[in-house]
Amino acid sequence: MRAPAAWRRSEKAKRADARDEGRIFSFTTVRSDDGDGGKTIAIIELPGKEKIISEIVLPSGGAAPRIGDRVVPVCRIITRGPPIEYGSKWALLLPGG
Amino acid sequence: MPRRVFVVAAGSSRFGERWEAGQAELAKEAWQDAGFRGKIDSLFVSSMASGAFTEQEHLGPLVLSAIGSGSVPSVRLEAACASGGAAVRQAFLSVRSGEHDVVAVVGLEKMTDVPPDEASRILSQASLAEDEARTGATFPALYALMARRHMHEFGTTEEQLAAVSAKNHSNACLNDKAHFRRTVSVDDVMRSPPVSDPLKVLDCSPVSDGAAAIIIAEEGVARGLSENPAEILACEQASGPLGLCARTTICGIPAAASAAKLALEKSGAKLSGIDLAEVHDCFTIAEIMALEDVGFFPRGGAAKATERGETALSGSVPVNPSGGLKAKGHPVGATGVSQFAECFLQLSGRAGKRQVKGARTALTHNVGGSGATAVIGILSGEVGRK
Repeated sequence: MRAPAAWRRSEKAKRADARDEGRIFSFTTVRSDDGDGGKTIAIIELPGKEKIISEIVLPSGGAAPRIGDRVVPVCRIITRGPPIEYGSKWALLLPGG
Repeated sequence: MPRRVFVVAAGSSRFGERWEAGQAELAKEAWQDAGFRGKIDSLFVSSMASGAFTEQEHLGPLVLSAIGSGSVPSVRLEAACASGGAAVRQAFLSVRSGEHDVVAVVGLEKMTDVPPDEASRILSQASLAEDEARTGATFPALYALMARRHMHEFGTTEEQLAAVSAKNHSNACLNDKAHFRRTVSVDDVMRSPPVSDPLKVLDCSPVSDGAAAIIIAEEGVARGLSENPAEILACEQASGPLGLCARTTICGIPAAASAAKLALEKSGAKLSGIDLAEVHDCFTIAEIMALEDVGFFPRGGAAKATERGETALSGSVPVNPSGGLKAKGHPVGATGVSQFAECFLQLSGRAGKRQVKGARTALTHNVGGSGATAVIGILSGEVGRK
């Protein structure tokens, strides 16, 4: 991808809010040719905002997502700092997480 | 006063992996199949991504030379997978308005010269590139998201989706131009490898090479060019947001519903009077949503109706008698034109073993991308009335 698109995405990342919490509206796992299990992509409903499409990071152990499950930005779990890669990766929130 | 517009000839190349044929050869094959010997006033060519697939742009004159139609105006038109329908609509408007009397539309796509992952990347350019494509949401993924939500809201099952594939493969066995002429069962579909769950390999249309052509004319000229012309009663187009996230629903395609409503109003046709439909089944869920968007069945009703056989060739509303995108094939720029060609064959009683008995009125449904563009056509023939 050329630089301007990458720049626009990074600007979008800066505007993100790590406190966001959403729910899965729909999801799918895209299988990859190399047999690594593929990536899970979801449409996420965010209260008061337009839905977003994003990759979902699943917990190890293989818990399958369901429509309505809660998700948060990955950065909130990993760094608790300002969001990075907003919109590209969200994590399924485990019970009590 | 707007003029009446008729299809006077139509043809198609064989769809499939056509490594031996380039774009010009495919166009010529479709043109020769149409068997049209008259003169045209202009040419519309539809193709989604000829430059990306073949490094050949400027298709208007390329195709015009291939079909030997002189020096008339020629232009290529792009609207993703709805390029064909959109080109037919432009041709329809140019004849209806009185600007031209006879106009040709040739749709084509040459997709198999690139590896499958490259084809997938090229096709993804018709989605919302910065949000959807960069996330890895290929078109199978986008339609899988729709399917999952449809299953959640209406209880649609994977077996019901598989029934769409089985039905369209069965129809394609009767079409000698189809990419896949073999039957598949619901079990075959269910056992096929997952692509983007809940969609499996046999829920997805193939990457195909192919071309289709139709020639349309104003009423007076049409009567002299064809014994059985089919009138285009309406050809309407509507648009919606490019990305799924901005839509009011993902259990249907609002642009298709809008275009269908307009087409029915303008044509004066009633849904109960439609004898067959060629709809955009790029994925099995897409056919289900198409039937609900047009209004053949209520929301949540099309999957059950398909399972009951109501959309089979012998059903109450035969859908995709050609085999559809799923089994006839999906050379994207050709698809919308091919739908009109199939309806013309059906309405003129020349569809052979897949002929819908007594067909008088037909509907085409062509969608671009994940549904941001939709074109609906309604055609009426005279043979079925005789």
